[in-house]
Amino acid sequence: MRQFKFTTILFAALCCLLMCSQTQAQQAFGYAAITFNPSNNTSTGYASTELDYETAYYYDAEVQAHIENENGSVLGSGGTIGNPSASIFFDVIHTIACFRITIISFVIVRPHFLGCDGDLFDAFGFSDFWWGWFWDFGDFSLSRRNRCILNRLIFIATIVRELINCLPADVTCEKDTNQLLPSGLSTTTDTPYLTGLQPGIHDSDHIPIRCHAENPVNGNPQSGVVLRFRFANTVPFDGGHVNHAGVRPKGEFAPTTARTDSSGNATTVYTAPRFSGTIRIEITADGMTNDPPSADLDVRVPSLQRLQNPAANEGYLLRGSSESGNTFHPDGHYGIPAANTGLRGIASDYRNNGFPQAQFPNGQPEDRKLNYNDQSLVWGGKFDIRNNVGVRPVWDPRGRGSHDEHRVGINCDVRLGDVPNENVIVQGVNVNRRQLLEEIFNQRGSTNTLREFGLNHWHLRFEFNNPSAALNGSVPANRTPAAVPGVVEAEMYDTNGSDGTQGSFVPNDGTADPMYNYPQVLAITGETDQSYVPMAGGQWMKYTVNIASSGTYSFVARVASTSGGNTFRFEVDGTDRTGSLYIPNTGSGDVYQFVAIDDIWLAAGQHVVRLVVDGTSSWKANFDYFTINPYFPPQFCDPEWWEIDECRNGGGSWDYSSCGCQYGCITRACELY
Amino acid sequence: MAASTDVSRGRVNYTSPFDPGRRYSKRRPAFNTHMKYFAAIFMFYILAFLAGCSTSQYAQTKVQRKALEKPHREYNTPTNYAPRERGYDPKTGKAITYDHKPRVDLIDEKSGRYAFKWIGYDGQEKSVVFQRGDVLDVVVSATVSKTTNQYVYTYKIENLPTSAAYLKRFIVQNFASDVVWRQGGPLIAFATMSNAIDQFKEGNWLNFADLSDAVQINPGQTVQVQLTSSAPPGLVGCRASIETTMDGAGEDMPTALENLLPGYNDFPKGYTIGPIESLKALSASDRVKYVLEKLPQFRDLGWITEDAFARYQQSLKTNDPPSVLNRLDEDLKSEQITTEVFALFQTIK
Repeated sequence: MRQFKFTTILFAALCCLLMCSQTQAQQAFGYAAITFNPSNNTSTGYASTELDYETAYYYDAEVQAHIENENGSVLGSGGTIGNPSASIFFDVIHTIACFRITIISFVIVRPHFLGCDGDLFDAFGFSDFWWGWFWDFGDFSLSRRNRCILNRLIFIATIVRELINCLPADVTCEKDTNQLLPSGLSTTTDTPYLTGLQPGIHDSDHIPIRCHAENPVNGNPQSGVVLRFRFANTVPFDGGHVNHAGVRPKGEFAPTTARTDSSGNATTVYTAPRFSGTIRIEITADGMTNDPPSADLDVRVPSLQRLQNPAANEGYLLRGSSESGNTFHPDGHYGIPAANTGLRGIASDYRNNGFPQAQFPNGQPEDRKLNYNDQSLVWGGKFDIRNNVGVRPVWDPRGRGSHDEHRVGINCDVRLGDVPNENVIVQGVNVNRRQLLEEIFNQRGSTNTLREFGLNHWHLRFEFNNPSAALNGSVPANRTPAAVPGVVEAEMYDTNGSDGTQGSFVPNDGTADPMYNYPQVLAITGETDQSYVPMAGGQWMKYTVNIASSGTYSFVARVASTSGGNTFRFEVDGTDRTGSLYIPNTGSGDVYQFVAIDDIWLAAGQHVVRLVVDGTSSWKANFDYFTINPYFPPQFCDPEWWEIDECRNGGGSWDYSSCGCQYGCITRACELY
Repeated sequence: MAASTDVSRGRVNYTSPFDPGRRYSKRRPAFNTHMKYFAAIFMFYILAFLAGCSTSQYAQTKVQRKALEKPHREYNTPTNYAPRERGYDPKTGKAITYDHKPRVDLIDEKSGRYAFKWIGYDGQEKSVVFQRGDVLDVVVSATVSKTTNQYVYTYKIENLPTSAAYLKRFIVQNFASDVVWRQGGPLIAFATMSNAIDQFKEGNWLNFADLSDAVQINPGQTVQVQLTSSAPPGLVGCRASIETTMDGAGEDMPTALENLLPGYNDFPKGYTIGPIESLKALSASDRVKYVLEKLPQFRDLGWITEDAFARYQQSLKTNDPPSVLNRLDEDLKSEQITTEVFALFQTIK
């Protein structure tokens, strides 16, 4: 009976205890977090489990956590037991640019009591019933939440924290120019038409874009940063292609993404489209801490000018663009200056000869004026139109009526319908009006005109700077181009080419041959095996050279003169590359000095260098030779202060010319440190 | 008779003085004995002597103007060309290209006609016929007469029978501001060539063109043009050309072919005489100097015989112009000099 009473009391006490514990709750909670330190590219995980006072009496807190990447691979892990709390830190060092990692922490309680078999057991039990009794930080996983394992450990919850981060990077980019040619223009065949090109700068349809990423905290190069090259939405100017439908071609990046190397560098090459306009490019990267680098690149044919609106009696009208109500192309009358001059001359000659003053004192009637259609669009480039009048142009996959040639400002269509096939009296002679006009085309620069009468026009092509002439230019002396780097003797100028291209020119002063007069070659006084060329103002000589490799070069000319203030220049392939260089007064035509200019960029291959003396046709200077050699920019000596100190302390002195320490020696064999 | 030896082929070539373009060849006999060998050497020297005499005699016989110099260019199918863009994908902006297969077909070597062909945007073959400029053989002669204060320049332009095209235009240079074209003949001049064109940037180039439907200056025909000026004659340039405007194919010619077109470089070119204003101001001695400087070029142009060249040069160098002037009429009649040289020497009187 006493035993029964004791059992009953014990049961009641246990029940009471159980009831008490239930009412006071057994609480466990957990916490998990992950942080990233950009200075050392380290992710640190932290996880903890903590029990309340009551729970801690019966249980120990245990935390087990790991960090895994987005593929589920465990990057780091740790676990510990404590009472009433357990917590752990652990680090993961990342070498990749961007990552998505997760810390998974298990909130665990470990019972204190041992069962009969020596195992730990849960006398009180966490069960589903008690959900509302504990609290946490983090996201408790529902899948784990329901688990209550009546064994060694009791999982209360799983806390998941996720961190998506990238290596921080300040990204800067650079390029050599903001101006490119529309693609499809060959630098060997088309660029001779073009003026205003800066070789190496404006003569290319593509540019490398070089980017560099560095850690914003410590300034070290940041490798592994994935850069994305793309076009920004804003396009400030679209050349002549207003109101086209569809996606405007913007060019291409190769590659479109690039990962920075161990030096933090990545490069892509941007190639312009065949269409002109401004292209805004942008470089982005995950983790970029600065504003994305961007740039506006002008894709254009340089030096195109608008053919001016005609005066009332000027004999031509502009057609085919905004002047005649076409709003699709704002303007279609851009050309190289010489072509524009030619077109105005054509209209003038046609008016003066086809419509004589006696009959047409106010100029020809409006419906007899020449209609100029479709030169080049603003900034040139591909001129893509459709034949369907009034239909909004698209980037037409059918390509109908594409003005393939109207892109560098040397073409123009002249409408046929305004030039009747009739006879007209020109200077008393009965001639055909269309033949008269065709001859005017020839006189003003378009000799290989095409009759496109089925399309109601003539297709003019102005021959100025004809590339075929340039390719078949003057013939080098001894038929061998001078080697560059090297010396070019003045007397070794080009001879006349088989196509009539001149290799040299001596101005007409009334006594000399007005054309094709050859420069004199005279022996240098005291150096009978050496020759020079006396040059007058306006005189020039061409030298075909073969440049071994692209790079920057120095031009050095050996000249003699008895007067000051005269100038000369070097042109390469028809473009002035040096500007005016002053010829010194050396006191005698036999006393030579050097005139030099540095940092001239030259492309590899065969080119024609033209030596031109400025001024009028009197003797200016004697030229012996000139050299074209690689230019080496001066190296600046900027020693650290301690280097100088160390040098001085060692009894030496700092030599800035050799950028080293000299130890008291006076011979040229001094050792440099 | 001029002779030259082509050792590699064992032939001696001879040029007839009456027909410089015609060449004869005789096989050199094979000799087996010394006698034959010496006989051959003897004969060879005799022939060489005769040849040398004939060369000299030929050079001294009479003047013969050279035809305008003709550039020769090759026109071949481009091997390196970019695909032609037909259009653009409206969604991606990517170019849609096709191989337009530009090519150059020789239609006829004699007439220098080529077909520039390509596959057009519509998939059909397109063709433009182009004629090479060097099929034109032209000789230009000039005479000058003087009125009270004007020089009258008359140019005869002969389209030689060997030409394979009709003459479209004759362009002659001058350096005077008062040049006036005198009407007459089928070629008319109403303007000068633009100075913006490289080949015509020095001085003024008066363009005489055939603009008539009815007349064509065919091979074998000669035309004449005249101009007047107060400026005395000097050495100037001239060019001639065939018709250069071509019939198109209904769409732009591809760049690869259009870049083959030679432009003005294709025009045969040479020299004649024309007004040069600056010569007015020259002193008598400077005029002599000017003519003396030009003498070698006159000889190269076929305007003066070797013999006359030597005499004139000697006289001018020894400051004895009268001895030249006194023989001018005779030398012109005996064709020792051309009308061009005659006119130029008149200016030193």
